[in-house]
Amino acid sequence: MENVGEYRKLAAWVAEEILPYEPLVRLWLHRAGASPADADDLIQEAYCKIMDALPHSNIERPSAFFFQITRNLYRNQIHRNNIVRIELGVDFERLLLIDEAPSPENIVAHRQEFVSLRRLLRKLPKRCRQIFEMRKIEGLSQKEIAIRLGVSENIVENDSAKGVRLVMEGLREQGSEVAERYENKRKSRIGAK
Amino acid sequence: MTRETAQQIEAEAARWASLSYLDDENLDKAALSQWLSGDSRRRGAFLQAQAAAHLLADPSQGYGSGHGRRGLSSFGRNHFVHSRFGKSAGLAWRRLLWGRTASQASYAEQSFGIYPAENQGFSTRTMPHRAQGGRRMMMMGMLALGIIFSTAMGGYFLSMGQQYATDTGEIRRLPLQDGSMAIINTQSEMQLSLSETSRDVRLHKGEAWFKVAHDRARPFTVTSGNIRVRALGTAFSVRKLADGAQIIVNEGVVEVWAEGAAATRQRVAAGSALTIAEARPTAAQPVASNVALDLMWREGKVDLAGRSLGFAVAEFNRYNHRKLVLGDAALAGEKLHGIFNVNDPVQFAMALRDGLEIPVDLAGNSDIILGCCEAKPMSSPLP
Repeated sequence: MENVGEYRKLAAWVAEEILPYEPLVRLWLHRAGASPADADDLIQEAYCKIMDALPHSNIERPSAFFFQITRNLYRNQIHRNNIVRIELGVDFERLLLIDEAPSPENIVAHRQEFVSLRRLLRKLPKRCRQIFEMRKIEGLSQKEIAIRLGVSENIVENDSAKGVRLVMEGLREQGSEVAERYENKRKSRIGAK
Repeated sequence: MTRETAQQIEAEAARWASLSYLDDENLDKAALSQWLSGDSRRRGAFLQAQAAAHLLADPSQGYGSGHGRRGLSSFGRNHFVHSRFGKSAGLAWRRLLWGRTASQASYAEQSFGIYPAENQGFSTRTMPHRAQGGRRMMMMGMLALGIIFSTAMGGYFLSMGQQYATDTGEIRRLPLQDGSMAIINTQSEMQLSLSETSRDVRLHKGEAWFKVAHDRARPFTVTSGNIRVRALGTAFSVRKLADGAQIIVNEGVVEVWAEGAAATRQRVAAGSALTIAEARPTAAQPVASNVALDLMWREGKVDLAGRSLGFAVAEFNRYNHRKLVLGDAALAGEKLHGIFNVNDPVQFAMALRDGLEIPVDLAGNSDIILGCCEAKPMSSPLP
């Protein structure tokens, strides 16, 4: 998609509807055995697919959409590259088939889980956020922001890119954080036996 | 050339996204287009980074409404969540919670962070095989989550009249926008059109299985040559044959007919299969079939269960570039048992060699000869 404006419109929607679910999708990838590097690739590819699908789509459940895209990408990757993994994960494979799964509603009804992006944003250096807020709320240009903050334009440029990166990294970390908690829960339960 | 890592892409994407957010007048659009035209992951990362920039600009965003409002989607149907949530922005938190009541949500709202369920949410009541270990339990939980996503919430959409093709050995899962699911087998081609009044699949080649979401207003029809298969909330597969089609039904009932033929529609029920010739559609009779076995390809497996070596060879060759060749035609009728990975003809050949003492030529990377005329020495196990 060449049009940057189009990108922006989609991005606002993605920020609201897709991004908050990234840690959970990452958690799923981790549980399904994807390496961290593979997970990163798959997530990027998933965003790419989302973008391709969006202009002519009518997505009723963005989180499901995101999850399914990623799951499919991962499955295709396994089938293409790694026969051994299929062999090891027979149960997993079978469970992925919708019609053969145990009534999932019951299982999920008990789940409590959510992700905080607010916490993530709170941890960011103040200036990273300030820059974007000044742009959004006051409509200042990069140059005007630099003057207002009393720093060079270069610093504004670097700090803003850093802010974006930190959010992206934060999403990744939240994914592995949840995964870790699950691991610990599992270990402590096994230990208790 | 080494492949760019995701993190390298991410750094570049972050730079481009913040530049385009803060200074789009001076943005070097040509350079950005150039960059985006590379690896497809770049476009994904750029979208992700732009979303991150939006979040930075407006931290009240990004808690997920759980449904796609925001002008990018129209609501054709009502979903159970969206009537409950979404009254005010202050309630945004609640929108992230799945399958929970509003009061549970406000409890969760008081604490920030990511919280796995206190007890994992997997009770022995709902999960009978607890003894098999926590890891599996959790996997099931996550999978179940995915299943919920794809069925209860079911929203995945690819554009109208889209073409899909699979390579040799590729088995592709394709969730459809209407909540249905398709799994496309090896070497297949199909075209999918979803509209307000109908859901049409044209199977040009190969085989596909469909789990059809119930929607009486939009009949789901698969076309293979002049054969038509229609379902209303059913799971079935259609395989295009040289002169007709084979239909296998594992849930519900489908109607099968040949376009242009005067004959009435045939009903094929769960647990049976119908092989129908385009030239003589009326002669076809549904027969009882072990459908679970016939549909194992969805998991990349084949269960030979007493079928002949000839069948197995043909089956493996559908999925692999490295072909199996019968060196001794007399072996074609040999009955075989066992479950194999369709993508692994070598494993299968070794099983033949070790189990049935059929000489096998696995040398090189070319075709695998089964029952070659001059028998290879038996005592040369492969590493």
